[in-house]
Amino acid sequence: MYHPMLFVHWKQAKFLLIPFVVAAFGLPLLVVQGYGWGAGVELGLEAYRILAAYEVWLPLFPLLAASIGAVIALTAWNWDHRYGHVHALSLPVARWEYAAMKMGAGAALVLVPSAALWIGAHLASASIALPDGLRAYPNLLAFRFFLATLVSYALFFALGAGTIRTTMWVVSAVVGLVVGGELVRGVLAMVAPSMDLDVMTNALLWVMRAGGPFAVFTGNWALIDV
Amino acid sequence: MSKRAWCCCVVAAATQLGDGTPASAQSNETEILERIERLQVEVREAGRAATDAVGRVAMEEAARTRVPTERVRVGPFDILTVADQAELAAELFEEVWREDFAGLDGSPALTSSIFTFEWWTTQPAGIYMYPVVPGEGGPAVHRIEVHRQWVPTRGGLKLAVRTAIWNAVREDLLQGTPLRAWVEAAGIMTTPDVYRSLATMTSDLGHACIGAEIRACMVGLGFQHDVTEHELTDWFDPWMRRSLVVRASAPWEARVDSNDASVRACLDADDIGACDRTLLAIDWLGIARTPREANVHLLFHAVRLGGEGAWARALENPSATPAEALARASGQDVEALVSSWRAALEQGRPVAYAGIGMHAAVVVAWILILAALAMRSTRWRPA
Amino acid sequence: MNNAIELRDVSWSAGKSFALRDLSLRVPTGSIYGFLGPNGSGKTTTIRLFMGMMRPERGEIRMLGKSVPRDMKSILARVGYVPERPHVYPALTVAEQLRYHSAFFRSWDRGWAKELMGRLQLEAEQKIARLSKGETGKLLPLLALAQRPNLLVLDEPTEGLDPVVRRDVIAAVLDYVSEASATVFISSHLVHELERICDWVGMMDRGRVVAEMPMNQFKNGIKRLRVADAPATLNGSPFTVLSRLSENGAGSGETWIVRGWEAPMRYYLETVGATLRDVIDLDLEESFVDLLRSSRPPSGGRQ
Repeated sequence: MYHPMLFVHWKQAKFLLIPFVVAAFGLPLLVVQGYGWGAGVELGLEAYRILAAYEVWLPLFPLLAASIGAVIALTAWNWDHRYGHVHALSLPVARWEYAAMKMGAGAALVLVPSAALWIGAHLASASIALPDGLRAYPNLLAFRFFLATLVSYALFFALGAGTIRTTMWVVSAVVGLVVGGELVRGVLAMVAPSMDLDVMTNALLWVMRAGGPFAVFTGNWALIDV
Repeated sequence: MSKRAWCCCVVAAATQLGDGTPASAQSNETEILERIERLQVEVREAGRAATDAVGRVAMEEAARTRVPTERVRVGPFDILTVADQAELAAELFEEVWREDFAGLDGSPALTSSIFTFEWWTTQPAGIYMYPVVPGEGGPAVHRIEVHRQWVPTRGGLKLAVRTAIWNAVREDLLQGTPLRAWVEAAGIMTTPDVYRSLATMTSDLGHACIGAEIRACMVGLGFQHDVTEHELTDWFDPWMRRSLVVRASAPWEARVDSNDASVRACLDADDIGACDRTLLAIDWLGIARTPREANVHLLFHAVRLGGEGAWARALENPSATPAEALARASGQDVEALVSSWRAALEQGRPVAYAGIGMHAAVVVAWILILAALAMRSTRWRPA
Repeated sequence: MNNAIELRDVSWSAGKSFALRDLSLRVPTGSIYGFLGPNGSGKTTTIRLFMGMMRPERGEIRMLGKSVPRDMKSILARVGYVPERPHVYPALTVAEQLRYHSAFFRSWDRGWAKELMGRLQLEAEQKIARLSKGETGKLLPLLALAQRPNLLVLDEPTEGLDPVVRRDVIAAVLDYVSEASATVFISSHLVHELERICDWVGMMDRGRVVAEMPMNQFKNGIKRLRVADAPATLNGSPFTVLSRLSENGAGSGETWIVRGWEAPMRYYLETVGATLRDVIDLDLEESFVDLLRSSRPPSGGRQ
């Protein structure tokens, strides 16, 4: 059952996925453009410059991972939503089994852009002569990218698995928390300036902190580091 | 009106007066000088008045928009902060103290300092020091105001605290002393950042140092001043050696006569042999040392090793060389100290993708939680 | 008699606008059960309830001797389902859709699927998105039949199809039933279509089952009677009067729709002083319409 499900998901997602796969492959190559190509005579001076210049590109990696995860998750449920889940519900599989297989199929698809990034990162590492003191981490970068994509995928998959009403409830609750929090904070700032109830920052801190669900998106995304 | 603006007005008024009176009509040069002196006194008085006015306005403002503050003591730190950030401030100072300044007790500068701490989002609540710090001669005030980023990190807060403490502590090192000169204009870095700065040095000196070549560390830190030809060629590639000669012969360095024959051969004919000969004949190491942040890091490493009274011992003899001061502080000879410092750097090396092992497990756990939620979807029949 | 589908006092509501109340239904095993009802009467909702797609608020549902929704997985392995609207993935080809669907059914008969594909003139490599309405209408029964189910649930399977395709589909279903002795539950509002093939009929209106009986009983048992001098009330009547309508003013003559009519019952009418003028046979559609009319309260409106 898993293979046909993977096949169907692939059929659904492939055209949307292609630009992302290209981006995942190209991004590592893009960020090392112009650094130490060829002989790299002035390597000593390059080291700091490579790290400094590379930092500008770092946010693109988690952003790409999040986007790919979302696309794969939304394509996972797209057809089911469109046809009211009737086909899935008429199949002799338990609901958890169906969702698990669907999730597994999507997780396998996550491997495609991750593999593209892994290859791109290896090519990028091999294409520059790294100065002493610096190393390339293509495997770890690809692994981190895979995990981040998977987290994004799992989040959107879980949201997409519910009814539209459930999804709207969840999204509205999050938006309400942020907007309501900001409003309360604005009022508090006027009546009691000492109370700083920063809901959004605290929520972000919570999800991004070590051990939080989105911690993988923060931290070190460098292909090249010491 | 700010003090600076006030001064500008006074100076501008004086200039206009001068313009209105033809120079020929002035009695003589002495009269002009006297006039300038009088004006300077007036400017000073006006400046004082402006300061007082600003102070008054600030106090009034403080009284109007004053937020509840709290004073916290953590180790030697006297911290004034917005009341609801007292706990956070105490935690941060405690952590930074433990991680970066362990052993730094009895710092005169710290005992006469007050730190204000404020972490703000839209606008600073404004901790006004006037009600707290009485006029001149009172404690030095070190303000820590961190703008809350969209995705705030504790690292950013700690950096601000660390920098403020270092700015305070630096005042213990007397101006003009060798130790002060050795750390002059240097910021403070964490161990991973020092490692990173050595690893990304433009020469192999830093790489050799973190690669356990203690002699490279000693030379880089300025404790040894001579290098062999072998070391020169080992640590600096030909292009670097030529660059060093360029810099040594620059007018602001003037370590070598730019018209010297070997300098010309090095620069004009790219004769690397001539570059080497030039460098071996002069004191050039000052321009190719490890970053000064490494010196600061080593200083506090020595204090940490020295334990109680280490900071006082480091300051004991103002004329001591940095090597002597560090040896006294740590209770070790400088080579052993540098060796242990290098080992500490190696240990604190920034692991790329730090903690990926545990992190991966946590990420997988979150994925499983989300998957479980997906399987509990309300759309489905129970099964 | 065993029932392939059995609903007992099932209730379900969608807010205040629509509700199924105390719905009871029995589909005998081996029957071809026609489920009639006007649009919006609750046929599809009833099907979705016993297919486990929705949860009833009250009542008990059993299919193929097992409990819904508890044993749904094993039930659905033996049920072929053709939904009201196509539910197949448009980006797949016919062959890919068959492969995907077959992966979920152990009983899938690949040979027969191929044979049906030829018989229904479907191209294996044709994209589902490009299929005509008629072709899609043939693909869905194909998917349901090729899994060799014990029970076929067809929700308006021929809706919108042209007569040729309709005949092909019905023929394929009947062939399968005669070969495999499967039960068929077929919902439709096309009464003539069901009249030819069903041996049981259930009628639904406004969320209620208004009649459920063998087809022959239904066809023969509902008559239109023209009666003169009918008394105001009937006591101990051997048949059920579904409706009474005056012809030319009160008392002079009435038209009755009755259920359970048999010829000897004319003597009963004589005993109560009425005169039977005429007995008119109704076809299924007329019976259906009259039955619906008689079952609705005079004021109309949804229940």
